[in-house]
Amino acid sequence: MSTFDARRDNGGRIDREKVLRFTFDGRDYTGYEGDTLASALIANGVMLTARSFRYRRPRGIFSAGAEECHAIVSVGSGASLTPNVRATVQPLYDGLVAHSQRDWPTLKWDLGALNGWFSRFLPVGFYYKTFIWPRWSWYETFIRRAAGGARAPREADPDRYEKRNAHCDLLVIGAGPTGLTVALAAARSGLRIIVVDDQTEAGGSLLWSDALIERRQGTYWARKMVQRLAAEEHITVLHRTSVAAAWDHGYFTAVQDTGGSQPAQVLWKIRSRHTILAGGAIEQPMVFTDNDRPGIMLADSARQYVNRYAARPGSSAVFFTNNDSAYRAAIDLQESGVRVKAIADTRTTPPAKAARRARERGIDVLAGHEVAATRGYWRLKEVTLRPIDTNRGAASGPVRVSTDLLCVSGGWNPTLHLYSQAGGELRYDEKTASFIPAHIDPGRGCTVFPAGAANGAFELSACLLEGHEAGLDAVERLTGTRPEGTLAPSTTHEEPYSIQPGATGAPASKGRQWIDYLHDVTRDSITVAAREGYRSVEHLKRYTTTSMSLDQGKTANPNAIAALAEASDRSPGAVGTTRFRPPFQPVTLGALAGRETGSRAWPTRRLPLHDWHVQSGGVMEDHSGWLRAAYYPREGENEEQSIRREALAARNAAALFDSSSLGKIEVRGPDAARFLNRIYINNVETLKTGRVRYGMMLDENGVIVDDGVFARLEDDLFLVSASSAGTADVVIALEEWLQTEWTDLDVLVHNATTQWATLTVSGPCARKVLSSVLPNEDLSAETFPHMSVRTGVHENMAYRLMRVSFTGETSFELGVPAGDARSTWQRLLDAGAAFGITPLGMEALDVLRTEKGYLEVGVDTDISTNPLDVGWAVPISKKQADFIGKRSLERKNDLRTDRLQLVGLEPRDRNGFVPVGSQIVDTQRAQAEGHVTSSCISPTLERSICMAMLKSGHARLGEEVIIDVEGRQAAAKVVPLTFFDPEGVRLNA
Amino acid sequence: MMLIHCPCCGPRNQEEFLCGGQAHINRPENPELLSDRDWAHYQFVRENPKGLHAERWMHLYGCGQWFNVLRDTRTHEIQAVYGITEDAPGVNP
Repeated sequence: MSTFDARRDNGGRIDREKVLRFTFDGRDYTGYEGDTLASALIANGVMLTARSFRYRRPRGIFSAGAEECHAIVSVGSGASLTPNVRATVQPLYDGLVAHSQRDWPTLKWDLGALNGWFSRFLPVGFYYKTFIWPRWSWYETFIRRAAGGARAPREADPDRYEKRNAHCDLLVIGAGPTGLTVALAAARSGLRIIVVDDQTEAGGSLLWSDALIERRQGTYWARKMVQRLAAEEHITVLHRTSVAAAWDHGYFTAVQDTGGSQPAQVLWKIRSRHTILAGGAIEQPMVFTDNDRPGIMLADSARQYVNRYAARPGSSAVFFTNNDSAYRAAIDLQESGVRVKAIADTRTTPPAKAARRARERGIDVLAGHEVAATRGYWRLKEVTLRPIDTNRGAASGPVRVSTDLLCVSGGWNPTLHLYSQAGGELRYDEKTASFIPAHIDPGRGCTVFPAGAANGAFELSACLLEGHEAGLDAVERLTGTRPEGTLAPSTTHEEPYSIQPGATGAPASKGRQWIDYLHDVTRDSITVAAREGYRSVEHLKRYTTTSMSLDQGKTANPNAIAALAEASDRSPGAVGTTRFRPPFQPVTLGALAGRETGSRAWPTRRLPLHDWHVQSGGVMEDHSGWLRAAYYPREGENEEQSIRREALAARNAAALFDSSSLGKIEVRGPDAARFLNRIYINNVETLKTGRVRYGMMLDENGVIVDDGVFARLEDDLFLVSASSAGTADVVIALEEWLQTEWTDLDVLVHNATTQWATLTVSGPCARKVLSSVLPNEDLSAETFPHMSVRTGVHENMAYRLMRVSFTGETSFELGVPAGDARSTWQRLLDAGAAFGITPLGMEALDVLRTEKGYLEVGVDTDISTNPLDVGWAVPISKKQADFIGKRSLERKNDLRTDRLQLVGLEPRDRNGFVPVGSQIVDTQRAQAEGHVTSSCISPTLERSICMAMLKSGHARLGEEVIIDVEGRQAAAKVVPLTFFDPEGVRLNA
Repeated sequence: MMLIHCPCCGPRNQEEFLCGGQAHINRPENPELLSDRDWAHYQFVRENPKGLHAERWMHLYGCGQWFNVLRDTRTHEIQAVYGITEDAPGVNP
C-alpha cells in the first residue's frame, strides 16, 4: 500500500460528486462515477491484483483497456458472479464486489508461487512432453487444482440477456477520432449507419489527450459529433458495445453491456454491407528481464490513468521506450505530479523536440539505454538502467533508480483482429515496425476496411484525413456517388511517430523476460521452441501457448513474432502472424445463450392430448422432442408396479395408447408407388389399396435409418409412418431424392404428423371397444385383417383406421383430426370402461414390444447396422428392383456372418434385470462380443429378457453367453428374437 | 455466417439452410453393375478444392427448395446461385 495520494485533486473524466463504494478481496474502497475498477484501485493505491498462471508471480495492472493481461478478476458474488473480468474495462458501479483469482490460499501467500522456484523443471512444451497417457491421469488432479482460475457460480444466472438483429449499409467500429470522422463523412448520404464503441463515452484516445480538433478540446468535439450523428434517424450509435467477432459476408456479433440495468447484456447480430474498422492500436511492451512486476505498466495507459481518471499509478516513474510516443506520456505524468526520474530510450538519437520538452521539465533523457534489471516482489522498488552499447565509450555504467512505476512502450501495433477474422491479410511494415493491412484483393472476401491507427496511421492528423477519405470511399462504393464539399476535421496537434525496434534484450541479459504474461511464456521459451524446430508461427503459438489465454495475446503477439524472427534469423514479416480468431474480447456465456435457456433452450412439442395425460397423473418425459407420458401411476403405486399393470392390461384386456407423435407422411402422385419402391427395402408396388406393409429405409451406405409401416390409402396416395424421432429427417431425405435426383417423378410429399392424432387401442378386447365407437365398421378379422387400412367418416369426423401392432396384440390405430383427439379419446375410454381399458405409457409399450422382439431404430440398431444384421436377408433377396442402399448390402463387409447381429437373450437368473448397454463378454479372449440393446422383466413371461447385438448372433441360437452386469458375470441363453407368441396368433386374432 | 441468396426467398442467413455437399453427383443408373470401388467412389469421394466449389444447399427453415451454389472456399464469396438441375455457369476466374 503506497503512502502517496494517488487521486489527483482535479481534472479527469470522473464525477467527484458521485462517490461509488466497492470492495476488492473483502476490503472497502471508494471511487467515482467514470472510473473503471482498475482506475479506482489505482486511485486507492492498490496495484497487486493477480497471480500469473504458471509461476504465480504477483501481477499488477498493466494497461487501461481491452489488452489487459494482469488484472483479471471476478466481479459479483453468488449466482451473479462473472469470472475472468478485466478490471480495466469494468466500469465501476456502486456496490461492486471484486475478487482476485488464481490465489490459493490467498493472493499474498500463494502456494503455487513455488512453481516459480521450480520453473526450470517446467520447460516450454512441458504439457506436451509430460502429460502423455497413461501418466496424464496422475497429473490431472494436481494440475486442475493448481490451475486455479475463477470458480464458476453453481446457481443459475439471475441476469437477463437479449439478442438483437440489425442491418446496416455501413458499420463503423470504434468512435475515436477516426471512427467519428468516418461516420461524419458518410452521415449525409442517407445510408443506414451503425457506430459501435466499447467505451462509456465516445472519443477514443481523445479522452486522455489535450489535442484540439476544429479548434475545440478533443473530448468536446467528440461529444458534439456523437450528438450530431445520433440525431440522424438512419444512424445508430452504440456505446459500451464491443464487437466480438467478424464472420462471413459482413456479419458481426457485438456485446452491449447495459451498465447494471436489465437485460444485463445484449448480443447484437449485425449484417453490414461495408465496414470500417477504426479500432485504434495497442501499445506493446518492452522485453527485458523481470518485466512483469506490479508497477510495470504500458506508458500510454499510465497517461490514460492520470489524464482520464485522475489516478496516479505511482509516486515516481521511469520510462523505457524505443519510440516517440512515450515522451508525451512522460510529460503528462510529470505534470500530473508523478515525479518522472528518467526516460531510457533504446535509440541513440531520441526525437530532438520531444527530448527537449522533457528535459525542460526536469526529466532525464538517457539515450541508448535499456532496463537491465528490476527489483521488488509485491511492488516495483527499483530499476537498473544501463547503456546498451558500452563500446561507444559511454561515460556512465549501470544506474540504479528507485521508483514504484516503470512505464514501458515498445511501439504500437494496429488492432486488426476483426480484419483478420474477416479474411484480411497483414503485412509487416518496417517503418512502424508493426503489422498493418496488406489490402490484398480488397472487397472480394473481406468487407472490413481498417482506417486510422488500425491502418498504421499513428498520428492524429493522419487519422482524421484517413477517416474522412474512408467515409467518402464507403459512400461511393455503396451508392456510386462520392459526396462532395466536405473537409476532414482539422487539427494542429503535432505528434510525429518514429520507432526503432530490436535494439534491446542483448543476449547477455539474464533472467526471465516475459512475452505472454497471462500464460507465463518467456523469451527463452520461444528461443527453445525455435531451436526445437517450431518455425511456423501457428505451431509456435500452440506449442508455447503464446496468445492463447483470454487476452488472446494482444500485448504478446508482436514480441513473440519478433523473438521467433530473431531466434530463426528471419524478419518479422517472414514469420508473419497467426490468423486471429473470435472472439476479440471474452464473451459471457449468458450473452451467447440469450433467452434460450431452461425450457426455452429447445422447443417442446406437446401432444394434442397433453392436458389429459397430465391430469390423469401421467409422468411426462421428453421422448425425441415430444413430451409423452412414461406411465400413469395409481395411488400407492411405484413406477415398476404401474408399468407392469399397464402392460398386463394390454395382454389381458385392452389398453389405450397415444401414438400421435408417430410420423405421418403423405406421399401422393401418379409416381408415388414407383418412388417409394426405390426408398424401401421391400416391395411397394405390389401393395394393394387398403393394405399395409412394414418396411425399412436405408441410407446409401446400407445402414437402417428409419422403419415403420406404409399404407396404400388410394392407388396414388400412400401414408408413410416414420418413427417419432426420425420423421423430420425422413421428410428431408424424401424431398432431397425427389428434388435433386428423380426430378422426372410426379410425387408430392407432405408431412401431416401434427394434423392427425393417433389413438391406439390394443388387447384382446380392442375390437369390442372400437366397435362401440365406430358401430358402422365391420372390424372382424375376416374383413379387416392385420395389416389393413380403411378411411371413413363418422359423425362428420374423418378418420383413418389401421390394423397394425407394436404390442403383439390385436391393435387398431385410429387416426383422427388433432382437434377431435380429446373427444374421441374420451369415447374410447368410456366404451372400454367395461373391459377395464387402461392408458398405456411409453415404458409399458417398451416392455410389450421387447416381449415381441420388435426393434427400435437407433435403440437396437446403430449407425453401422444393416438390415441383414437384424434378420432381413430373405425379404431383401426377393426384391429385384433397386433401392437406396441396396448395392452396399452386396459388399463383402456387409455380408460377413461375424457381424453384430440382433438376437434375444434369456438370462439364467429369471429375476435379474440386465441394464441396457451391458456388455456381452467373450471370457476366453477377454473382450466384448456384443451388448444389450433392450431389456425388461417381462410381466407376461415372468422372467428377465433382453434384445442384444451379438457377434455372429444368428448362428449361435441355444448357446450360452456371459453378460457383464455392473461388474458381475451373468449367464444368458441366446434365443430367437420373439419371446412371446412367436406364431402371431394374438396379433392376427 | 454467410448470406445465401435463396432463389425463392432472397438473401437469408446461413443458419436457415442445410448444406448438401458437393453438387453434380448423379446417382449411378445401375448400381449393381458397379464394382465395389466405383460404388465407394460415388458414395464417399469428394473434391476438396481451395477455390471454387459447386455445392448443394437447401432452404430448410424456409421454402425447402434445393439449389446449387458456386462458392470460393478461400473467401466464402458466392459467385453464383443456380438451379439444382442446371450446369454450373461460367465464372470469374
